[in-house]
Amino acid sequence: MTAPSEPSTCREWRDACFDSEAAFGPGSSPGAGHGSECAACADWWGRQCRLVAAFRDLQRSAAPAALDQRLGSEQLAAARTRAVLEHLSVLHAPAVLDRLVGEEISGQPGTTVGRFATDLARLQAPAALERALADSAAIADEPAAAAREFRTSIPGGLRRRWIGAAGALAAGLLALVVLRAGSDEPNYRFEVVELDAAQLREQSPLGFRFADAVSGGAVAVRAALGESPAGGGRK
Amino acid sequence: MYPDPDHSFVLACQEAGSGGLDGPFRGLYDRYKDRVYNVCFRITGNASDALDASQETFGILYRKIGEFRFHSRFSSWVYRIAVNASIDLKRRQSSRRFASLEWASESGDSPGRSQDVLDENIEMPMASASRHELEREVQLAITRLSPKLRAITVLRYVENLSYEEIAEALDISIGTVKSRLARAHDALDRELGPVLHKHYLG
Ligand SMILES: [Zn+2]
Repeated sequence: MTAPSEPSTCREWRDACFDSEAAFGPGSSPGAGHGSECAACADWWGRQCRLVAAFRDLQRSAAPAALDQRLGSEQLAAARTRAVLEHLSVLHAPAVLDRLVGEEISGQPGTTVGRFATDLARLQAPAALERALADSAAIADEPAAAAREFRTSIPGGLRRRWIGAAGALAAGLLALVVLRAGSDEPNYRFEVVELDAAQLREQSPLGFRFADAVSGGAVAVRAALGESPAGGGRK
Repeated sequence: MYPDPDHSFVLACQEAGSGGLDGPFRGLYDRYKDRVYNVCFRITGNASDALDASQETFGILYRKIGEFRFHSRFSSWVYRIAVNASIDLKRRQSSRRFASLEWASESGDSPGRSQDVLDENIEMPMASASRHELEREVQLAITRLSPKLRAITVLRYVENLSYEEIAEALDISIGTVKSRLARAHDALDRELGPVLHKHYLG
């Protein structure tokens, strides 16, 4: 057999037997030399011949009819898929694609932002929100009444200036807090500026279109009238 | 190139493009279905798996025949697909046992013989074996071989392929065919020696 203690000549002789494709077949012999002189190898030769004979005697089976049926169904399925693919109609690009690509490659960011922002769906507040607000209004009736009194007691123009000033103050405080707290952080520089709508349109078309879209067109109207501030900006 | 006996059948399939089993593919199917089934049966070791592997083999042949360029014998290509489909099927069934054998890699053809038999703990075949039992023992011994040795044994002794045909089908050198065949004989001799002695010499 193939024990490690076997003389290497036996191993070499046995390996060399596989050089001939006719080895171990009917009518083959180990030949003269080692094969006939070494009893172990002669015995080994006999075992290999019996092994090959056993394989030769193995029963050969015919492919079962089930294979035909399976392949028939597999190829039917493939044919169906092919037929479906062949009948798919060719889709043409919609005409709007021309305009969108034109905008995309013309490098006008305002156009794109305006289109997407104005296309944002406007949602209706659910009825539950109205009920919740009514409840909270009833609970906090006293402060709400005071606030209403405060609002109505001050003229509209003055109130807007107060709110604007309060907003600017809050933004300034936020910037201060950020600058103070982050002394070891990268030095972000915030500057609160107040622009009117016309200035915003000149200095930042992108920001103008965005503010206009979010405000539902109010900023553009104000820019046209050249009156009140369009809002704070950040550089 | 080789005078490929399947040349006209393959060309007819390539020109027809499709047609299922009623088209030109039927000719190739009829020529190969028994050979493919027997290879699949001996490698997988049972009829159910052989059917699955045969189906997969012919499915691949049908879909890919348009890409065949006669760089090898068509039969070698068929055998390669059948062997791989059978081995892959068994590997999927017991991926944990076969994980380290890496059938697809030819580089792992190490001289070590410990991996040639997958399960060393299987009991030795009974010494007294009838004709039917012998068949069963031989099949069991094939199934216990590693995938590489199983493929080479089946192609050599079940399909009677020459060394050259085996080398082409498995995409290995003739030297590797010989060395794997020698290892397969070693493993099978250990498994089947006593039962074959009893059967053939009484
Ligand atoms: Zn010897």
